[in-house]
Amino acid sequence: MALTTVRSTGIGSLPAISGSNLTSLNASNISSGTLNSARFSGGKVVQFIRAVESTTTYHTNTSNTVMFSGTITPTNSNNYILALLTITYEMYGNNSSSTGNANVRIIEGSSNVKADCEIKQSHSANDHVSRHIGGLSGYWQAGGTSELTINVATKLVSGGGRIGIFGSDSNTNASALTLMEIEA
Amino acid sequence: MNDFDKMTVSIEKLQPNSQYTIKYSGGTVDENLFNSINWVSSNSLTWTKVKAEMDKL
Repeated sequence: MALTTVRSTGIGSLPAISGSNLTSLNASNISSGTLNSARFSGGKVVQFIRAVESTTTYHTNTSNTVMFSGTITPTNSNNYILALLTITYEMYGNNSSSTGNANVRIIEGSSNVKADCEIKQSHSANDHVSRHIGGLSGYWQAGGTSELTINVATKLVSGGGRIGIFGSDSNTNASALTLMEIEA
Repeated sequence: MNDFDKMTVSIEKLQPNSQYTIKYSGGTVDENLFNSINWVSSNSLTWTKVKAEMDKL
């Protein structure tokens, strides 16, 4: 039987009874304790992972070269993975005809490209160096609950040049990959 | 052009389109650094050859 009236005289708190019929509860009155995340509606961030490039690395490779990685294990295959890359990098020509033009990619596993951008510079002479900051993002359905390795990779468009990704060992704004699982 | 630039330029000049990865966050460019290169393509260069080319730049 549901209560119809609660008399506050002489009592300091409600008894431990079901509040399923309670209405007009103002969330502003929840002043302590921890609200379970399951009470939030869809779209919430389930987990947050941050991976930072620790060592500044250069390469001259024309194939995907993993610079650093992060791992995330989805809790639900229907949820989404949001990958946000902030990258600080250097492009260098190495000679008068080569460039540091390269693709920057977010890759799930060894080959599943989720985001890709070709970065270009207009000069190629070997005493021209350019440094940049940039960003790239990918968003996709997890499709499973196994651990995912998310790689940040670069590849030169053509041989001869050089690209470098700054890490925390030489730059306070080290390249970093933020991974979030977003509830469907 | 710093010594690191000189090293990669010299490698490119002596052995065009070489593919390699190298970790470098500043500091001395020497034989130890050269020997730390992870070669993806085949390499026949030595530090002596590369250093001689660097000194021309």
